[in-house]
Amino acid sequence: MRDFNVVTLGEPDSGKTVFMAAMHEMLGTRAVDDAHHRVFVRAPMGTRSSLVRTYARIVNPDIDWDPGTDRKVYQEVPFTVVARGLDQTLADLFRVRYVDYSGERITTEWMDEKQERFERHLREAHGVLVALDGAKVLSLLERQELGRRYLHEDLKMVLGAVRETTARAPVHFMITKWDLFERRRIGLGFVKGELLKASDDLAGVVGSRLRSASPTATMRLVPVSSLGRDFVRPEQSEDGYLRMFKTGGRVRQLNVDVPLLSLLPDFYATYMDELGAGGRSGFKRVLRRWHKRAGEVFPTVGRAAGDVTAERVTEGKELESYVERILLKSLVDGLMSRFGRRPDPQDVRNEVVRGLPNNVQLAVQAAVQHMALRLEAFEQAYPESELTLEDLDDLARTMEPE
Amino acid sequence: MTGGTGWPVLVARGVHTGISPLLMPHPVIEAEQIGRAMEAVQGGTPDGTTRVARISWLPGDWTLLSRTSPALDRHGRQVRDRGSRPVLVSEGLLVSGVTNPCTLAPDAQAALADTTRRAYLQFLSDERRYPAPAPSEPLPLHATRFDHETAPAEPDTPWFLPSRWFRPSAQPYPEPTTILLLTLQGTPKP
Repeated sequence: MRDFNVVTLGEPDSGKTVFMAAMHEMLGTRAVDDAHHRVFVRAPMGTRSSLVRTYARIVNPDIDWDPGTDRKVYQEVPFTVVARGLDQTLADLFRVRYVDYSGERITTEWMDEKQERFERHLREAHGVLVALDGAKVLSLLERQELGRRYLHEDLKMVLGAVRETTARAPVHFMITKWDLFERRRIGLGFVKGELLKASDDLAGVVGSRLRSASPTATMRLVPVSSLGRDFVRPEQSEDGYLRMFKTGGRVRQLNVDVPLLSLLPDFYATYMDELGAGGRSGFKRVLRRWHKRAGEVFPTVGRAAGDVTAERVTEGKELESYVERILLKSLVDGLMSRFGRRPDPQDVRNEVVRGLPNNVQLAVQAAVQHMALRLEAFEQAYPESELTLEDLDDLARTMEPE
Repeated sequence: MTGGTGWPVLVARGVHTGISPLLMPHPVIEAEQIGRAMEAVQGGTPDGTTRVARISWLPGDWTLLSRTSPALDRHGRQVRDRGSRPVLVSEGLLVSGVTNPCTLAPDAQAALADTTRRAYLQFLSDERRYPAPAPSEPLPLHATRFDHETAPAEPDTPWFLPSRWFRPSAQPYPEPTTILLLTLQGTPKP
């Protein structure tokens, strides 16, 4: 099973810990209980207990907010993403390693042993989630001093950390505390436009990542609320900050599953799209390049692809995991249908999964379909969520002097 | 029994500023180990229980006494950060020349508490201008050996809350533990 390192980047109090606990609540607790949910996550017992305890404290209206994560905390949180078939067959798809850390690690100048581990995790990340603090983004929109400070300090630091990650790693942005925007009926399209307009750094990072990514890779701006507007009541304080109070109302999470579900198709899509590009010679050329370049990231799939090129895929003895082969095929199927490509006469996808257990194939396919449908539903609800080069072109046009 | 020197350490968040080294001992700054010191002094439950640890990342014999507690402003109100979360302060005393378990006498506690409180309030009043890390002034200490069973009972002084290390053993004949009581030099013994 492949491991993906995912790093959530955000300054202190941007909502990273709450987001992780809420995501685990949705995908690691409620999704497990829901037999119709085709994907859920499983964490080791100790990690799960810690996340459940954190979540329980957060949603208990009688307990104050937890203090910020202290610098001593550096917790790797491994989630195994599990597919569940209609007949309840389970298949482990891949493992995601998140890191919970104090946001000061992004802004610190003081080194310790954990800082080195954090920076290594950052450089080796296969996927990046950037947490944009909704409260601060809102102050930016409202032209407050706090917003201006966010733009020139916190956001700059966080985007600096994004630049430390490899250019190939997919990046998604999430706006935390989205309930604040819902209360004011502010739409995502407006927030996206204002953010890109206000921050040259953000526009720069988005542009450079989109240009270096596969043409079909998707970069998302995901509005997220870990607790929902009924549970949290914001109040403007004298010092200009929004103070959050627990109301004891119902907790309603919004889109906390989307960032994680976005990542897997992204990981594979980048490579699979290259695979599907061009004719057979192009296919081979891309495979060679891909095999060489992605060997470290995706050794198993890399080997599978090598086998496909050599037309040697029969029993797949060299492969570590047949689940990955099924996943590979399911994702290619999804990509081909998404981009309207007809199957190649020499298409070898069926060969990739030949001889593998049918129930596992069905479980993985159901999971991939589930993820695709969830993302589709999200895109329909938030059509402005995709960050594109056209957004930047539009921005450039509006900024041009007349 | 012996003499020694203790340097106050203070690590805390402010309202706007993230975790910062507000007071750091000169030897830590010299050795460029501020990150390690921040890590060492933080943590634990914010109930004021004292933690005592040997320090290996400075040459020589060093012991760090530390505790974490809620941050209070000059009106005694709980400080909260931008995200409405309660802020904690981690304060400690880095003691040179001591390797035994030790605890602070009320005079040393008071001196430390006064130093860290003044520094924190100064930081709160203007977080951006605070010169972190500010070097801390050393406190000359006197170490006296005593048994924890006969330690002065000071229930209102949080530094005397028993940490796990000092808890009396459940064994019928526990091994005697040498604990050093650190007082300010020149202060009459209690």
